[in-house]
Amino acid sequence: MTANQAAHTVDIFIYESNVGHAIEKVVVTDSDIRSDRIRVAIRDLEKRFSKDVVALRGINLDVQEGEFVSLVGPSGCGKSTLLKLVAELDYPTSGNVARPGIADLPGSIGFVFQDAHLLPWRTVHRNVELLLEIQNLSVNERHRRAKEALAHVGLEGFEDAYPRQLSGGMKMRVSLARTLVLNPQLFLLDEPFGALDEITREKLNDDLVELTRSSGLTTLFVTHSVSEAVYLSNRVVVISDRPGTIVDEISVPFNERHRSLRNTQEFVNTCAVVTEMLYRGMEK
Amino acid sequence: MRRIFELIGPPLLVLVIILGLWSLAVRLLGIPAFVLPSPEQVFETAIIESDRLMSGFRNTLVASTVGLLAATVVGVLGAIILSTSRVLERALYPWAVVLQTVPVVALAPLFVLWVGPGFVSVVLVAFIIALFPILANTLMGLVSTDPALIDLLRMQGAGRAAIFRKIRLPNSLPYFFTGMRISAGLAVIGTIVGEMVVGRGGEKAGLGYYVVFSATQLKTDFVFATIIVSTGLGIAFFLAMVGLSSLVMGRWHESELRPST
Amino acid sequence: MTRPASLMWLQLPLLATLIVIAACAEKPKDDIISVQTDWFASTDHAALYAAELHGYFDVRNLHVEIRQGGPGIRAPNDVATGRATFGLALPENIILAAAEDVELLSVFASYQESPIGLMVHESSGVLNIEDIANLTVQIFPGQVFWEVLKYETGIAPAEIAFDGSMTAWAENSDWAVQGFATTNPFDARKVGAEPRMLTATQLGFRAYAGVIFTSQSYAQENQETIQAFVAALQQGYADFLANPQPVIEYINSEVNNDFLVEVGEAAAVIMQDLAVSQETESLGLGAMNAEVWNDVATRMFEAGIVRNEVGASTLWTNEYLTSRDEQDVQ
Repeated sequence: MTANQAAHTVDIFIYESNVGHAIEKVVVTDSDIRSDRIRVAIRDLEKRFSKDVVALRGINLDVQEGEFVSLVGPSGCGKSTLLKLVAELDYPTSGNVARPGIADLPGSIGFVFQDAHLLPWRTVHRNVELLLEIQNLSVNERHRRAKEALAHVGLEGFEDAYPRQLSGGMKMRVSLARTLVLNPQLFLLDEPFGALDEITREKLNDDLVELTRSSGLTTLFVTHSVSEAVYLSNRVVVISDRPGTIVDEISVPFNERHRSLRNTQEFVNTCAVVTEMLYRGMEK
Repeated sequence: MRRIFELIGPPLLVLVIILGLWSLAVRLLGIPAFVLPSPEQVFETAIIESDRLMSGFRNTLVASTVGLLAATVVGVLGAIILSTSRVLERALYPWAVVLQTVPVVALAPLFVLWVGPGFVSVVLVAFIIALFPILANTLMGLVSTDPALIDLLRMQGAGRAAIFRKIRLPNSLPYFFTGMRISAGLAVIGTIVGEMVVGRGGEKAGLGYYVVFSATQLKTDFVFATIIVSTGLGIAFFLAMVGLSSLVMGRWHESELRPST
Repeated sequence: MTRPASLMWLQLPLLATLIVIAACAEKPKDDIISVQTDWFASTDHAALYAAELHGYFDVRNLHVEIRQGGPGIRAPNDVATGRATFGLALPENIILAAAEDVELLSVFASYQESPIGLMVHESSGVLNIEDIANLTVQIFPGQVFWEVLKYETGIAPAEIAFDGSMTAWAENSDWAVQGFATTNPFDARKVGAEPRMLTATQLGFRAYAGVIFTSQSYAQENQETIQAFVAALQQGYADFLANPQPVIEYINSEVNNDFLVEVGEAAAVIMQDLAVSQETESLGLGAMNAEVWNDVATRMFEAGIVRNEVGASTLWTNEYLTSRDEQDVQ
């Protein structure tokens, strides 16, 4: 979808809101939507892959600026599809996705996929530069920003390595750097650490918290791991089995993130609540 | 240096053993020379006929190179064109497969009729035989790109041209070189077969012509010498492609580390 | 159909291997005399098929089995390795084999002058070997008569390998193509060309053709069998030349349906001239002489086709022939 079309979507959405379009199960009020703090507003979203296959139905969700929201659900529930709809990589069958306050210019959204998806023929540094090349930045500017992003994810000294020389965790860091280098306003991650071992995964979780909290990055994070979602997020949204609907959501009460948090009773309890929600979504 | 030895040592040893067994078998079993000449005899004949073998080698080399280059240009352009459109690919690719199954040797007399005898016809045989692997492999490389990467670039506003340049084209390189390795050998085979059927005689004769020539005159040792020189040419082509691929792809691709056909 | 051409060389490396294996395995049964020809059955093998048809082998108590040739079949190899008792080939091949230390003995020549040669277009006005210098010659690589003539006259026309098809030649009036005088002009007329056949003899290289031979070792131990076999050939061939029709029809209907009766009839006319000579008048059909054999051998050596000079005298013999007078006595 081009920038024009996207702008059009926003217009329609606002128009519909103004005429009092009936919205069930509203999470936020219309005034909130117009507020400056909403960065992603999903209304009545439905996605069908065919007549019988409904991936998502009746999704209503808002994400505030600087918020870290996790989408948790069983495999195949449509949470990845939802992320793609937000990124306009796919289009809804009905309903709307708006990203008020987020520029429709290329580069405003950063997307990280399940696997690192690096170019094997490029060095680490050149991989991180890839998306900047599309933006017609000067060579110097590209170089500077890539170096900075690599430092940010702790990969100084690996600029000239090729992807096949890196571990899975390092590859994922390169993938994060490749997206962060864009200075995105909205950060979308689709189960980025699913293939990594436990320790690497926890280490990257801490890094991700650091990266997003320090820059106040608005983040939508898809995972099937309850503890990962609870650890990372301000808010956890639970999605049911296909057709995916929002079962419930929970605000995460912690301020600080540290390894030891995982062992606290409160953390365990929160996880239990989310797990309970997941079960509800599977039994429906 | 040590790596090179490890690489060529074992096959070289096998060669020596085979030559030894061959020589021994010819002597012990008293196999007549016209049935199976000894390796020494083949070598001797190769020296005696070195003028003809050299000029045959040169002529076959030129025809194979031209045929392979033509197949490369047409194969890559064809793959690029087919990769731009599913409809085009589905309409044309089956015909490319059909083209591959046409017995090219049987077409050779037609080539003579259409484009005249000798060089052009021979090159045409080499071209047609070498085209398909390059086309098919390059096409596969162009279309089998990581869809996530394409999404990623699209999100940044990249157009088809940029995606082609940054993703599809480099992604197709190892596939392209796999095709080239197969086609390089096929181009030599195609040239030799073409020379056998419609090749020029005299000064312009290639190795294929001499295979028939020597077989007609019951000179089995000369046949063997020609076949060995032909095989050498095929190996040279194959190695040239391996060299070229590691030159172009450098350390990037894992596939480059294990050359395979 | 042209011969002894086409695709035999494609299988040669394989063949060499197979021969090694087969040589040990497949020996002819003692009482069966196998004859390997050079190509699919035609009037070029008339002596053999006439003797078979008329029962001349049977009356001599010879159990003869004629095997058709074709692509990949090489009669001298088969006889040398013992897989066939007799073979039929060009005498050049006997000399080439001798140069490779394969000793064969020719006992009967079907043609006093080889029907092999070059076919040009009537319109080209080409009459002799010098005129051919300006043509493109489509010929099977390594053909001995052509290599000798090129060497001796110094001509170097453009050459391309002959693929067995007359189509390209028919389209190009300045081309010459290899062919057999007995059958190919007929084929050429059928595709609408007006051919002129120049045989190797007319071009300056006289040799026998359709030579029937056996191995020297077989000859030493089976004199009487060879005697009887050659007598049957002579008798059959004489019958054929006097009355070709039954043999042509026999080949067509019983042996090779692709060999058309009309082609056979055209060939039989030409054969009346090519099968006989002064020698055959006195010594009987199939006769040869030292002059022709030595000439061919010497010229092949001088042209560098054989590396060692081959003495032709041991490669052929007339001793099994029966002259017409002797036949009358019998």
